[in-house]
Amino acid sequence: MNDDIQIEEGDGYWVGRFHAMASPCLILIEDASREMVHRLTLLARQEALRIEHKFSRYRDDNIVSRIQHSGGEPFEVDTETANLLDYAALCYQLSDGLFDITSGVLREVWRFQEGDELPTEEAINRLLPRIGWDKLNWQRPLLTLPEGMELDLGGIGKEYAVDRTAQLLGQHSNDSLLINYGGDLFATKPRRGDKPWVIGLDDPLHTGERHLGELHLRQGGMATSGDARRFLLRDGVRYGHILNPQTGWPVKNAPRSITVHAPSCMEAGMLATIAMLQGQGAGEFLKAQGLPYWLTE
Amino acid sequence: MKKNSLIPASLLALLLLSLGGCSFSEVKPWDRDLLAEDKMQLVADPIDNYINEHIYFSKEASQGGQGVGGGGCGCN
Amino acid sequence: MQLSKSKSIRSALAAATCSVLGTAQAGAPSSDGWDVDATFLYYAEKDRVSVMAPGFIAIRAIDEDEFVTVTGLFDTLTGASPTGAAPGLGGNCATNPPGTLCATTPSGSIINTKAGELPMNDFDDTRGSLSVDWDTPLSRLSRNKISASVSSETDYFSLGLSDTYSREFNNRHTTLAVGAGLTLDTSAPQGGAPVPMQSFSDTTWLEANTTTSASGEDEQKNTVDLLIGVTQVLNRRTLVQLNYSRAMSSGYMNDPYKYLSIVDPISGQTLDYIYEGRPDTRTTNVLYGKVVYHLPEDVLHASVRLFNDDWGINSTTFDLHYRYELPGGIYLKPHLRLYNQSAANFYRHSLVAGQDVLLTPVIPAANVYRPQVSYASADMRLAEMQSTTWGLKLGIPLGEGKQQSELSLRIEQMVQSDDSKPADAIGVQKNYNMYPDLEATVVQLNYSFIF
Repeated sequence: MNDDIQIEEGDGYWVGRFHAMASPCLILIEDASREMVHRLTLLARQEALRIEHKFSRYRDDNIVSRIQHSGGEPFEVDTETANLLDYAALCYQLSDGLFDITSGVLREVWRFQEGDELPTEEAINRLLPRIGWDKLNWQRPLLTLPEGMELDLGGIGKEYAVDRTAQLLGQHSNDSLLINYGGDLFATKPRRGDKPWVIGLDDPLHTGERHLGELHLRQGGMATSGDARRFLLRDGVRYGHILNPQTGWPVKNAPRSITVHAPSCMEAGMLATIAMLQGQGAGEFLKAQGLPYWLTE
Repeated sequence: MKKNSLIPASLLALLLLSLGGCSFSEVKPWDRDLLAEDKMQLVADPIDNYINEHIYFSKEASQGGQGVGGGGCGCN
Repeated sequence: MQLSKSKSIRSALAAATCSVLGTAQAGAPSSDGWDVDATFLYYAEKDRVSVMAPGFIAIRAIDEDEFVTVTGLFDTLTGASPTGAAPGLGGNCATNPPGTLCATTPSGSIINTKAGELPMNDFDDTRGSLSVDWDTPLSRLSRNKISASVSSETDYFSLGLSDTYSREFNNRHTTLAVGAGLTLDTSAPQGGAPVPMQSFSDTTWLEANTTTSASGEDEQKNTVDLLIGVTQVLNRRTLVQLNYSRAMSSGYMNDPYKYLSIVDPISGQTLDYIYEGRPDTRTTNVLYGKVVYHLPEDVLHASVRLFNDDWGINSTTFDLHYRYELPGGIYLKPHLRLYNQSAANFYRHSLVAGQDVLLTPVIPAANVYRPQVSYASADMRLAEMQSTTWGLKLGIPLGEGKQQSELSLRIEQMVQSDDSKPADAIGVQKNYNMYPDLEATVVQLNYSFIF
């Protein structure tokens, strides 16, 4: 057995585990031999790591880093990256500029893990000129990123990895598969007897209860935006980790957590994120989409 | 010959007229789903096309048009 | 900057996601395996040739966006094909009284003809052909495809090499392609290649026949072809292509097994036979246009080809495929093809004694027909003709995921015809069908799978 992955037997299904993209990753497979489960899990891990290596902003040997160091010159990207940039451009448009992959620089001042320290208004305002998809030039496949700006594909990457893994494993198996990368999910088809996969929900209020509830996923993607453990408290106001790229401040009155069910994990994730960025309007936005969702205020 | 060639020519004209309704418009990458389909490729059935070319090459005086090269054959 | 109240972005997002995941799948290093189209072809002409041919096309991604394609076809031919001789009274060398015309081909087979029927030549042959394409990206917008092919028969060998470079412009809406190819053909007819335009009665032929080959060498032909083409995405549903190509051949272009009748100017009876002779150069020009149009579900392919060459042949081809989608991924695909060509300027159904060929006394005492024309061929493929093909294909998808495959069956009917009573028929020829229709049936079974 490979140390990088673990295979366990669950209740009527197999579980393949590994770690990638700073998250626990699970592959649930209904009917297959142990050997097949092992093979599929290895394949999944390979794909997850490929995407992580290619698009992580923490590495200095990948495309994101090369773009960062292109010194404001036009940079030619490969087809896969270009597809993701097209996608990001459309999401920017569809969200009226609220979803913006250049907003990552805000992390320089917003560190949600470090207690209740808030950045100063001045520090935030200094960052704003370095944010805005409309400030860079994207003429597929040429990207011109002004110096000082950064790209962060983290808001798309994990969901993309889930969908890609599902596609890849689907080429090798006809079983019902559930891909779960840190809570971003995709089920290839219903389980035997048209049964759904059952996923326990995390507790966004952090009350210590193990499960707030269960979600049932028969087929398609599901993703959650919002994280109960990442927030700042100041003067009784809870600042979530969803930042508005236009103000540099967390979105006010945003729900604690939003889960969306959509045909793919990428759509689910994007709709959850854009909904979160609506703040108070999240519920209304989600209703207009006509897809199943779960919202925790 | 002259009379017969009018048939395809007029059919082509008809086709072009019918396409006139949908003129050129930019197709963004995310709108290329239809264009990416196998059945939408210039040669949708490569094996059928290959066999047709082989048959027509051995039975008619004309050849070529779709590409360069292609195996010679004592059949013509 | 909040979204307006009931704005649904779901469908736009769905299309965008489809684009990311769809093209990423095609572009990324694909899963190990060959995409195989396997086929079995049965082709049968009424009263003439039939062919059984298994074949395949296999494609594999060897790197990101880089593909290798291997194509193979193995034909087994059997049956009879027209010799070029005109229908006449008929004759059988074994039984006919002396003085009745009969003849043998260079390979020694006897030409027996039935009265009023087109003289045919029986043959069997096998052919194997294999080609390999290597299609690779050169830069973000340009690609190159190198292709090599071989084809081998008992009496024919062909070697081909070609290269096509393509480049995308205009935000990938326009693709420009240029290509060049070289084909080297070697013909090694059984019994040697006959001397073009030499009559059977010519004694020099008998001498040549004893040395097994008239020229003593295999005959060569080489062809260079050039292509320039443009493909344009018109809109989300429409793709058009326009190609111009030019091919220049030089060398041996004859069909060594074909000859013509030398007929009596009054009776139209065959007096002798003469081997066909064609020019040793040929230049062809082709203009080819295609439209692919996506209806809500169905897809239409329509193409037109205009062809001409310096042999005087002009042809027009119109080809239409319509893929009609049925539930469950099943589809029907009707096919219609209309083709017509004018005759080569040296095409003759027969040569007339005293006009096209003269009876010439030679030493020692014999009279042989000597041609007064440089070139002549009675090959029906060089005659004026119309051809109609119609067919139907049924495709059925099987399995899912890695086991995904498709089974399809195609049945087509082709009819080639021309004036069976040409105005220049002489004497007895007026009673005969000088151009019997060629009727062919194609049955093709395909199985596509990942290997």
